Amino acid sequence: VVKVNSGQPKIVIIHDDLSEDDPLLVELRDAYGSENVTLKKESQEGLDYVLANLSEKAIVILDLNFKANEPSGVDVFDKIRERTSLIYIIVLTAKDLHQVAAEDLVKFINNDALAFIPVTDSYQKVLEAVAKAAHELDTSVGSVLEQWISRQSDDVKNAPYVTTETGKRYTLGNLLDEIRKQTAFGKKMEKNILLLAVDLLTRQKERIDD
Amino acid sequence: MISVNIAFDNRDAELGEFFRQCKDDLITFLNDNDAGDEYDVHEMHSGLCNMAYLDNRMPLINANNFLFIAYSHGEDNCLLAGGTAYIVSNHYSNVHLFTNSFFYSVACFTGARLGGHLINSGSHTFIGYRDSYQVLDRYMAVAIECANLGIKMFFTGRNVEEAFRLMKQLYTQKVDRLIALGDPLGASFLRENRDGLVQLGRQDLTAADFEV
Repeated sequence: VVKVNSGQPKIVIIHDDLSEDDPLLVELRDAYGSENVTLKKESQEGLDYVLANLSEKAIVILDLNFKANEPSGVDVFDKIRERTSLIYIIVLTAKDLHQVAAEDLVKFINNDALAFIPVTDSYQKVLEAVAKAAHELDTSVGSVLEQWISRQSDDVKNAPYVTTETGKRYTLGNLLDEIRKQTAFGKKMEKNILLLAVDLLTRQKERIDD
Repeated sequence: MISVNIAFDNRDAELGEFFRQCKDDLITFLNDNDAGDEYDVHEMHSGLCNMAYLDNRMPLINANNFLFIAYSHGEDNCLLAGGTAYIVSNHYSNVHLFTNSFFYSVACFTGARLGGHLINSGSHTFIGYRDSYQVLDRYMAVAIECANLGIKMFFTGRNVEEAFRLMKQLYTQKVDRLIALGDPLGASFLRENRDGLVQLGRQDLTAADFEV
């Protein structure tokens, strides 16, 4: 079943040090609605939840340290990025920046972690980062396209949709993967939507001028 | 009588069916609009889309004006069938074979360089795409209609300039139609095809100029 949230984003907190009555969760629920804020204290459960709801507009607040038998925050980050670049990830951790391995920091930066916030900072910083992510989710072409494709029926999504110059045939489901993974073709589709918007607006203006 | 030569790579694994349907659509149009023996149509399926065949075929017709229509994959400098170039403008160039032609190409990228080389080698006019060309499987009838409109309008008496303008206009109408149907993604692919269209060479020619 495809679940689509066309209004507020889903906020998934994967963090074993936070509780349901933590002030941060209270503030997030006030701002985005209780039904849109989910706390997962185990990283595997949080990862499974995110991957099962890729069609949601989602913001993930992610801890780095979990129990030894649980995937680390870096592992969760990697697994999400293997599937999509359209989910915003905010790293919220007890670690200071200098305690994070250099290669992990580079990975976060190169793969669009939205923010890295020490848990000792004011949770206001987290709220600001979430607000920024929510705005970008509302306005990014990739997210809008993702929402549009996710709304199509399974029959439509699984039927051949377009064949490119390389002879590769895509269904809408395939195109969604290209957008989520931000491949060259996925980015080209986003650019094409912007060019289409410019075309439509320009021709609308010409009609008005006439 | 007008010499109409149609190359189509029907054996292409992914787009062969599209290329064949484009060819069939044009043949049907010509048959429906043929008042007598107006058109001398010569079809070149995948097996004939090669340089050796064209070396033999084209000198038989290129002393006079003729039309050459290609439905296949393309790159900047060539048209391809089965992954092998059959019309090419590099050091093995055979573009000189198409002198006196109206060259109409439904293929990617050929408007970027091959079209200019054809014009410089004596083709009268060229219509094709300078960028990638996407085939909308979901709207195959629309894809074929847009692909063929320019050449069809030429056969109905419009000059090259008018036929090209009408072709772009049809693309725009279909863009608006897909928007109205709620499919901005399909519309964006059609817009890309439209804006990749190029016309090179003479614009004043009509079908009457190709009667022999």
